[in-house]
Amino acid sequence: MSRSEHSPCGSCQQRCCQDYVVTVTGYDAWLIATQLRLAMEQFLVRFEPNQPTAECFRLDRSDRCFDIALAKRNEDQERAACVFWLALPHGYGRCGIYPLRPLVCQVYPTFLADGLVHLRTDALCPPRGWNLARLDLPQWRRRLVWSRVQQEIYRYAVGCWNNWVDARAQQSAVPAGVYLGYLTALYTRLDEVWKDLSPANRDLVLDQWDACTRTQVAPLLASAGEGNGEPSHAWPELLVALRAAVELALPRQPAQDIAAPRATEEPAEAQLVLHPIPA
Amino acid sequence: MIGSCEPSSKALLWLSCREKRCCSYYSVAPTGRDLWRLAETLDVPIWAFTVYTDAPADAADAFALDTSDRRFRVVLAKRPDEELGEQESAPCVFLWRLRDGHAQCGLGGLRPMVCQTYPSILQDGLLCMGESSGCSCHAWALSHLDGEQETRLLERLAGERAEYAAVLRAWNARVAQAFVGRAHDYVEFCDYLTTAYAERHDNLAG
Repeated sequence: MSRSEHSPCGSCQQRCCQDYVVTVTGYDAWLIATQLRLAMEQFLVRFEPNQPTAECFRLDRSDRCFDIALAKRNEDQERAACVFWLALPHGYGRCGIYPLRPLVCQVYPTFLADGLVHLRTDALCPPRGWNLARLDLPQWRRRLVWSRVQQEIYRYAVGCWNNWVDARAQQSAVPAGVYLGYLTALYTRLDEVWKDLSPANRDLVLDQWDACTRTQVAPLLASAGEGNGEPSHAWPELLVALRAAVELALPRQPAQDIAAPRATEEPAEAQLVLHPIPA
Repeated sequence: MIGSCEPSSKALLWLSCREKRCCSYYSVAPTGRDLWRLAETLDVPIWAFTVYTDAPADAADAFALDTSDRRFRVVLAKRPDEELGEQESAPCVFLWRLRDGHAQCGLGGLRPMVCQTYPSILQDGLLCMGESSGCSCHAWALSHLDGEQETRLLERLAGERAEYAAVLRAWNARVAQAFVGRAHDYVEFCDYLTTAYAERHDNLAG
């Protein structure tokens, strides 16, 4: 966010960094861990959401599934500050990982609908604090598309992981650390995939991805050629590379073939939600 | 406020330090440019994350608030201990602890130059290890450093200190010229620093 752009965050009471449970994608977790040289366990918590989502992973064949979120300063308190929150004197506070903050924080309080940037009506921001007319909308839109792409890649990765768990010969639960290891291996590979794209091709594939999701097609789950518009040659190559990266990052072993996850619901925007982390 | 560039081997050692006692053991006296950079990036006034303490009258980074001989120095604020209150050995206000107790600086690449260069010093142009009694996990050695890079950082720190001294001399002269008994407050001083560095920045940019 540029300093010239109007943002009410500087003078806000920063409730969003305290009241929300910030669920993250594997990309967010990988980026923070690699840039800060941290173990994911040092800043993530695993919790069982009330309503399972497409981001929920399993560790055994039971129905128990988990999501990951940024830890809180005081894990016993529902409304404690985010683990990365810097509380300064005189009531000031700032995010300590601002350039690396999760995508869901970067796009807050906006969302994309029909290709347009909208403001959430349930945001915790000061009333009339945000004004769409004063935002750099193309920049916000790019950020929202990138966030959606990462969310869909993560959903695909979680689906493949859950299929792998189902296909395991052993009945015992997989340690949670193995899941985090899978995320680390996967996003390290994906980083190479994205780096191999020229800036022009990257813009093209993001546009293509956006066009697909507007028609409710999740690109990684769709068959080749599905979607809107004229695909660039980089588009099918990217999808192949992303799928291959996920397959290669999964732990070795399964006796049966691992099926790719099937689309079960419409792509939805990742949003910050208010819900407690169960003890 | 973490930067995303590839960290040096020294930075990796520092990042892996669990306690980061240096962030509690010392009072961190940034340069004026550090203060301005932090205030600009965090969009927070200088007085919101610093305090001022007594300083020797001849210190290059000492400033006056009135016409008396009393001098002060700006240091980063400490996080008050919930039980013991404000203490000299309390952690820096920018230090946080992760789930497992590992300490992390919230400023990352934005941290003051004196923190980035710690514990090395330039002695008559020669790169040396300074006092590092705060360190608990390992002893620092010159072999941990990229000599050229570290020397450049230390030279930059020296330059920023000289610049800060000049900015403070101008402030102190202004305070000395005021009528006896006229006292300035800390917020006024911080506003002066912000303006002085912003003007220097604009002059360089322009």
